[in-house]
Amino acid sequence: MPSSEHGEMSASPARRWSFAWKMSLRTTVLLMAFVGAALIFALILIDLGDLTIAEASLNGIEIILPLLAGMSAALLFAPDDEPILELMLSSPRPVQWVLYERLFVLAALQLGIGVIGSVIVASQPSGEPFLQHVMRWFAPTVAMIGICLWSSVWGRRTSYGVLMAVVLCAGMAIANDVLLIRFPDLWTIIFYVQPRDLPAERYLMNRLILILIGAALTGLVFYRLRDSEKMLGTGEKRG
Amino acid sequence: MTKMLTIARYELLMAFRRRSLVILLVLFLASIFVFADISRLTNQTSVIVLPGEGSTPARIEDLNMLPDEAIPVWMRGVDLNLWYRSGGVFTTLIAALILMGIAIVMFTNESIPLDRQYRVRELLDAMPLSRTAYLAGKVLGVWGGLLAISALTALFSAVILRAMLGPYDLRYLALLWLAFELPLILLAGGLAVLLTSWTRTRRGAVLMSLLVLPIVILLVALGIMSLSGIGVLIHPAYAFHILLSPDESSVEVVIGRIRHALPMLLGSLIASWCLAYGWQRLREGR
Repeated sequence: MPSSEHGEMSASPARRWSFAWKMSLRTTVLLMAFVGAALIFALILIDLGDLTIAEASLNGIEIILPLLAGMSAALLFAPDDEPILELMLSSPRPVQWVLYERLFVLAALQLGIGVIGSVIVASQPSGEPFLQHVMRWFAPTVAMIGICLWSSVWGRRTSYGVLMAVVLCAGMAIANDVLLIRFPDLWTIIFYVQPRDLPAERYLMNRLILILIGAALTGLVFYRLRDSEKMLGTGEKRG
Repeated sequence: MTKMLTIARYELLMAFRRRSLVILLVLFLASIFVFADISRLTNQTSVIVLPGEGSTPARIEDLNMLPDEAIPVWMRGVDLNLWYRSGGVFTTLIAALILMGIAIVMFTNESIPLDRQYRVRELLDAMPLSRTAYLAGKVLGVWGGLLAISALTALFSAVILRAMLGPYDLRYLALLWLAFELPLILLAGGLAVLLTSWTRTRRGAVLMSLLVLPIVILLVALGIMSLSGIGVLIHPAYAFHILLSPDESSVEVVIGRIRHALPMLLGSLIASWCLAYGWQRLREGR
């Protein structure tokens, strides 16, 4: 069904659609959020037990949170893995709403975990200031959500997004140590650059670029969702 | 046997049509390229630290200048430049294998769950097809695809590594591919197919593979520690790459490691098979 028809249908009484929060919670894999939270808080507890290593490793949150947020984002929506995609596309409620809901739940869960973690870290004597700590994980998390969501929708399969999450996180860790020597300009997009390694304005620029990448790719996904034919894979090879 | 091979053939065909094999091939080649570049970058100085207490770093160029009496016995008669660059090949293949393991688990997990998602399983259940033939067909199909792209990657990697690192010991690369990379690639594929077989959808298979992934990585790491020393069969000097002191005993040490690891690697595959088979039987019992 062409996307323009949604508008005509939404004028009918069927417009009184409701939210599907429970399904959105299931789709965002609540368990993954719990695992992420448990890992992050366990790491913080371990660090606080030994303050000599705390300074170096209180930032485990900046590795775990983007990875898990990316994996969860990859699971949000993949056309070939949605069992009732045709029904979704033909219902009065625009398909974008499904993703809005799921994305909202995902953001609330993951960002909530991150903020609580940052509050705990900031409240410690050796911890960073709250805002500085939030900047560590927020930008990579937004970037990972955008990249992994886009990979799943573009590749039509969840596995693309999940693989992207794992490879990107591992790749960024290597890039931070190895590739930056070879390609110094990569500081613009490396997730794990440290505030002490770059001038303040460059560090801020890096964070901003990452957020823009994430936002742009999320926007692209919503744009692609407007085209029902593409969503159904008409004229494309399907798995 | 015919049924099993037919299932394997169609699985291979479907993996190609779903573009999984093409993507895996691209990823394999990209990983070889990236890690070869990193290896070239980190090995630019051509410095090694010889085994033994109080050893200082030595440059390959300087070692080449020394008379035979001044260098360790295992180095005598060895083309040190070729040997050193082969070390780059070794590290490239190890790093690439980790990435390949992750990608294989992600792209081969859907083999059996898709049959349930597309309701093909009901049709298959109505046919005189044994569980063994079905499972073996699926595993063989995935292995066939992985064999094909591994062969292509091995061929292309020989060229990529020659272009990026310079001349190296081609026998070493061939042996590493045959006795180290290929078995672990097939192991990862087999485990991914079998351990995700009880899920009902492709999405479920992806979630399951996130749990399977650490197991596969652990076994691949075990394989790296044991099988990667296979180069000593060509020359004991290659023991240096796995941090062993190269001498006559290094061959025995490497063979001993392989002998210890093989039951674990094969055992994991057999255990996965039993789990998948048992699950199918349980499902039919219901």
